[in-house]
Amino acid sequence: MTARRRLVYLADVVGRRVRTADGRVVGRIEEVRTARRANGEHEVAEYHLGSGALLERLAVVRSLVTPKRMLIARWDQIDIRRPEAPLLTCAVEELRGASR
Amino acid sequence: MMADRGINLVRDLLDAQLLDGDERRLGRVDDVLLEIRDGRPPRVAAMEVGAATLARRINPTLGRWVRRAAIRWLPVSLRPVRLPLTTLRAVGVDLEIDVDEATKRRLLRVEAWLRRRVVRPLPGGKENEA
Repeated sequence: MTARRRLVYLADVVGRRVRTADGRVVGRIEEVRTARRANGEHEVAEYHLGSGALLERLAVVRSLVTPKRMLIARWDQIDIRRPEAPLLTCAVEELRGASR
Repeated sequence: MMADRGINLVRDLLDAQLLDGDERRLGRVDDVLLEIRDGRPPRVAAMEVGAATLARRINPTLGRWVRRAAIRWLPVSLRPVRLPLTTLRAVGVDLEIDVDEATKRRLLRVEAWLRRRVVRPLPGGKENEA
């Protein structure tokens, strides 16, 4: 069986609220960070969520503003197959930057 | 093996100006396509450039309308151009890309049409052409 190629627009993902399986809002996806493979291709490495990520996206110098909350999710911790409703696939506490 | 030079897609790519090796402007990145793969990280499939893509970003209905209107009334195609990330040469305030002449023509087809049909017939239009 061949895998179906599924394309998603970045603009459909950015700004969307990420929810947990029980419907709790974790934050909005503000930035998508890639990693470059040896063959030159870029793959999504992590999603940045929260107001801190928004400041990063707008390239606001952090020292000028109060540090804001940013959550970092690995590529496998958010399911974007339905870009209009991204789903967290792990516990919120497992995200980088989350208070435990 | 994972190399370290990653990109922030929103900050570094989205809406960034595309330049060729001679610093000629070729348009802006209107959206980025991600390929979803089972059990593997989403791959950045392409950067998309085109008025219909930009309109879709503002509103999906507007995007469809622009595409249909272009097919029906415009003498020049507004079909988006997809550029793989392997064409990227330098990422900064602007993005330098390495593309062939045919791709450059596709990226600049609306500008070329405007030059031919609007600017050139104007008095002094021919002299102003670079």
